Amino acid sequence: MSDEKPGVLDPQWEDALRAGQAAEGERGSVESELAVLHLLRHARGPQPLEPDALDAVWSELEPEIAGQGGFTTWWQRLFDWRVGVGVAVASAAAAVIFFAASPAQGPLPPPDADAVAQAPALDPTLSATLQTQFDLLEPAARAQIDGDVAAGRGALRTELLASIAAPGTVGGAP
Amino acid sequence: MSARPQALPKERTIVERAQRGDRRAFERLYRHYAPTLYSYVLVPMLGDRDDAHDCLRETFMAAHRALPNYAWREPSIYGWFKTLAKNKARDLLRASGRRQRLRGSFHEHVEALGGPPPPTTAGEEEVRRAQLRGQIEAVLETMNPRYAAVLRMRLLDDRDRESCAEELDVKIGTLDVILFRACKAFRTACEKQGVSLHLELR
Repeated sequence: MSDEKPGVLDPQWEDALRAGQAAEGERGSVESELAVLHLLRHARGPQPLEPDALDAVWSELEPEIAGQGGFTTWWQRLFDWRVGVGVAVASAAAAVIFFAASPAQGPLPPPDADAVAQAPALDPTLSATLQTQFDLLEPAARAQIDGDVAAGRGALRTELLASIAAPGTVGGAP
Repeated sequence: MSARPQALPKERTIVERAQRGDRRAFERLYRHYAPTLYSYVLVPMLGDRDDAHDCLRETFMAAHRALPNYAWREPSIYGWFKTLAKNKARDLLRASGRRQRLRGSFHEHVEALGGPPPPTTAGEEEVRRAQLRGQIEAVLETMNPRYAAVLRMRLLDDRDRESCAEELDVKIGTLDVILFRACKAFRTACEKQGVSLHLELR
């Protein structure tokens, strides 16, 4: 099959039918004749999907499926695992700092001034270490949470748009 | 284009990798089966290049979403992709309305003339096209020889207008008239053989 030959869907076929119809003095739709013509061209050789078009559809597809959140490489999963551990450590450190450094709240009676004065102070070395750890881990943890929220929102939006556009195939099931 | 794609080597393993989230495995399935779905399923159903491209993209998006729930069936994942593609094409046709539905769509003609579908395999489309070609030849044998000749020369043998006009000893403009009449006559000949070329979606 020569690539120079008109394909199944080449517009020249409809033009030829229209010219023949006009010469016959007829008007109206040529869709029935066009379908027969396409059928015979398909029997000769189907309309190919050109390599450029194959790439173009994939380039449209790739960001969409990435947004669905199903595809991760092993190194991405490893990164996620490390960030998850970082978030857990940061949360624990924050909790320790909060309970160690915050004054009691609520209906508890006010602390005895003498007892407070006599209580041992929090080891400044430990406190500084925890603060340092928190400062180091907090940005990554917040970024991870922000990323998760954004990804979840994007996935939900994609699902909703897909269900609106194709109500018979919600969820992609055949 | 791969006119008769066989299942990929170790295709089940590739599918399982894609189900676990391997993007390269999914891309490999896409690049192997998208051309066949486009040429043999979407173009015949839609009769429009742009619609077929859109539907191809939607098909593989749906496939990606549903892939974790896909249960492997021998010999290939092609049958599952084909079902998804047909569903997407039907959705598009219903959404676009009757007028576009009739526009050059010839899937029903393939179904009517091609006989019963062969078993679902990656090569089924080429088998069906061979059946279709044989059935078309049988219909052409029953037609007015002049009409049959123009359909063979222009559509099946790829001869240009000038040489066809010369062969039939007519002017170019007359050749278009004969082609138009021949397409009508082909439908009539099919119906005489009990093959109804209707254009409704099933």
